[in-house]
Amino acid sequence: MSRSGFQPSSAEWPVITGLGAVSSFGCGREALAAGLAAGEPRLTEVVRRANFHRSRGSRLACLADTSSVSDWVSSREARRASEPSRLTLAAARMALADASCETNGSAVGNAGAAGRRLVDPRLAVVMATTFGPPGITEELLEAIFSRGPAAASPFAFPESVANAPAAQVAIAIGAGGPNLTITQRNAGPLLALARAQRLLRSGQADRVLVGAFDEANPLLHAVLDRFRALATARPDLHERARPFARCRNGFVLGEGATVALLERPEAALARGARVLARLGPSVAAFDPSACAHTWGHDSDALAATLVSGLAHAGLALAGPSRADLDGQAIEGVVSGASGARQGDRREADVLAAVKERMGGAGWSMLAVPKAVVGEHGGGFLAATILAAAGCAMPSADIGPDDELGLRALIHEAPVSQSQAARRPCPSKAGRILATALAPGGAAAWQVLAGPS
Amino acid sequence: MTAVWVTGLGAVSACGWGVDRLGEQLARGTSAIDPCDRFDVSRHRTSLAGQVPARDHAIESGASTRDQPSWSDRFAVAAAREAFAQAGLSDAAKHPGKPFETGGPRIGLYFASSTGGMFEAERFFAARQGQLEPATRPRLRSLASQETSGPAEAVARACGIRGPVETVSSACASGGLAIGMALDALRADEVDIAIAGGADALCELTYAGFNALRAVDPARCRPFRADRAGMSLGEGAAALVLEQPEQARARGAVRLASLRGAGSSCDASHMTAPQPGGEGPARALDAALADAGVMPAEIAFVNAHGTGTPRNDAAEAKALTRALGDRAATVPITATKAVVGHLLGCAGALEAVATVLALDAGVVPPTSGDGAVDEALDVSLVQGSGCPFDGSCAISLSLAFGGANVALVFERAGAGR
Repeated sequence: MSRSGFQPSSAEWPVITGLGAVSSFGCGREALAAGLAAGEPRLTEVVRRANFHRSRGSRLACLADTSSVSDWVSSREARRASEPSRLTLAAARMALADASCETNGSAVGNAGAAGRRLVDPRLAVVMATTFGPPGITEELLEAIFSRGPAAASPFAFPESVANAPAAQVAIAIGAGGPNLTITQRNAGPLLALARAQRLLRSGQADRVLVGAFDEANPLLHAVLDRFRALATARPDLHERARPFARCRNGFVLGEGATVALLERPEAALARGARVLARLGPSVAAFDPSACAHTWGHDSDALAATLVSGLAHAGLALAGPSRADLDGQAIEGVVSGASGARQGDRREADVLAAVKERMGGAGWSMLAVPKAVVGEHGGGFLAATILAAAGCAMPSADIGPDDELGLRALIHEAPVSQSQAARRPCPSKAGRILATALAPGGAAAWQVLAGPS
Repeated sequence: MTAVWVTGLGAVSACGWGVDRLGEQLARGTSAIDPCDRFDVSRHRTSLAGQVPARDHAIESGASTRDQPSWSDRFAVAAAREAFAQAGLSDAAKHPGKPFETGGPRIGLYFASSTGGMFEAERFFAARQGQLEPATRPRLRSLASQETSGPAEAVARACGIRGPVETVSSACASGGLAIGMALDALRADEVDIAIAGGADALCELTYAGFNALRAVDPARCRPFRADRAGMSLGEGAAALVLEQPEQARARGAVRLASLRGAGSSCDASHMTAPQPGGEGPARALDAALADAGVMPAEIAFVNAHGTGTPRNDAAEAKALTRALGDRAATVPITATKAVVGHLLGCAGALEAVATVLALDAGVVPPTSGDGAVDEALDVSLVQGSGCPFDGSCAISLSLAFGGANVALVFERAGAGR
């Protein structure tokens, strides 16, 4: 296959045949799907050892439940890996097992299987992360600044680089194809999906392990708290993320890892693989009015770039009423809104600008998985795939005090909700648009569809 | 396969601010690796680095100060603006911060960084440890530029880019991978113009980390020499403007070179040590040559990763033999890191710039340093003075922590393909 691009028909969209996840709900996609459907985050008190939190700042995070990770990563492997590498490797093995996939004849999913694996040069790895591995980086800096540079551990240093988890996956699985780590903040997971798709389309790989990881270490939590980015408790509200709600006051930091196996549809069909979701067109854009620590304000221009980019990629956006699009309509949106005051407003502005450009009756679903998984790229990535697969998602909190104008965007607007009860969006397994708008200016959209 | 044009170059390195200074020093073959004074290096195995000299405010203007840009951000913006200016994209070059008009050329940014604003994050960390005087303590906001996406975002803001912005952080292969990503985007018609590159600044984490690995040479690095003892760290930024040929022709842009192909792979064997037989980088080379439609005999020279560590250089030489066959023993090899040090995430991008400069000059620059070439490696290292070459294509190769490898194939502008 040539490396030149083409715009495939939907029958040629690459397929996701396996999904592994480590999240606050534990190991496995089923656990995460159940948590998303229930709509309640699993919050854990953060250790405030960093001694840097605000006194009335954030106390909670969606910390990963790693109790079953040892089923997937041997103690020998675990000793040589940072927490992000361990979780990512576990998720990768889950994805391969979920896909009933073998690599070079070696059964996957068994922690520390004996023997050296052969390298598969056609298996690529693409990961995304926002902050890389902050825990081991802090350990190294602590050693350097308190005990001198000689105290830097030669074993810890290689694990402090952002691509360490992708490399550990490649080593353990024998993935000899392209190996990339994308670090474009909250836009990274969708950019990674798009990058994985390009590797298949251009013939650089036959299969791609694509995913995202993040680690919520105490110092990172404290710094974000100092930035006043995190949700906090108020006298009338407990601490949690409330994407799009008027009373939102920040996001909840999450952590974990997600890895999906992406392959060409004909290859999946040939081996009788079950398809979870299909990957359609993607587009990315940037808002140069943003500054380093927050979102920009040029929503109209951003929407214009995203819509024209997606149209150029072969898909027009519209609500279900635009029947003339021959089934290409988007059923719903899985938004990366996190509860950030400014970020959610910009996300709503962009979605409104899109709807104004495209007309139609709006979307039937506006899901906000970060309400449940926290600000964790892997959780969001898994949620977009699960939404396309037909799993129920937490819906946007559109009350009578809808300050962001979201009601006009939704075709089947959910009944007004209390701030405590979050109704799940119905399972539709239609085409969905996943959106991510990052502080600093980057934006990415990805269209996904159900298995059929 | 479709080649794309290189129409603009920018560089910030230990040689100075600007491509010309890099080109002049590479041609002379004198090392810019000198004692480092960015932070206290007295307790390290080496005190040397390829540190960027005092900034030139005239060149640097345009980097937003409201964001408290990191060193990496500043290097990146300077390199990108230089590349845009050479490419004749005046919106970015003459009106910093002004966005390109919607409906104009679709411009994407594909950038690399390994540590982003880590140096600034370290100042913050040191302040928390009580190791900085109050007057020198950084503000909290400086941490917003700490992420590895910082340089790309700083460039996109400074140059008014509205298209895709994507940062790759795959250690020392990042710069080459970013250029490969830009090539993919252009071929897939996702953008009309791509700016690709990278930026990294010296920081204590990497300085101490590579010292701990005993991967640094106490003296200046000596790639492919028999007595080589490790790398020298460096810093800087590099940027290349890449365009679809039709787009470039239509606006009258000058072709500096063509990027014909890219290929990448992963060793999948060890976090820090390369495969001794060079299998991984050989696969990247094979893929790049196939993508470019170029035979080994057409390769005029190789700009090697050439860190100067005993194992890297040996594995790289093996990889070249695997991929280039008989041509490997005679093809001229140069190693930019001997002059500017190892720029980590930016290394592949800066070496791509150096490769284009050499193709344009018609001379392979010498590999700085003394000492006999390691005969066991069977490489034809260019030493002493530049070497004129026959042929039209050159390879720039990068290897990384974690086993990522990337090879790029460039072609001289006048080659007439």
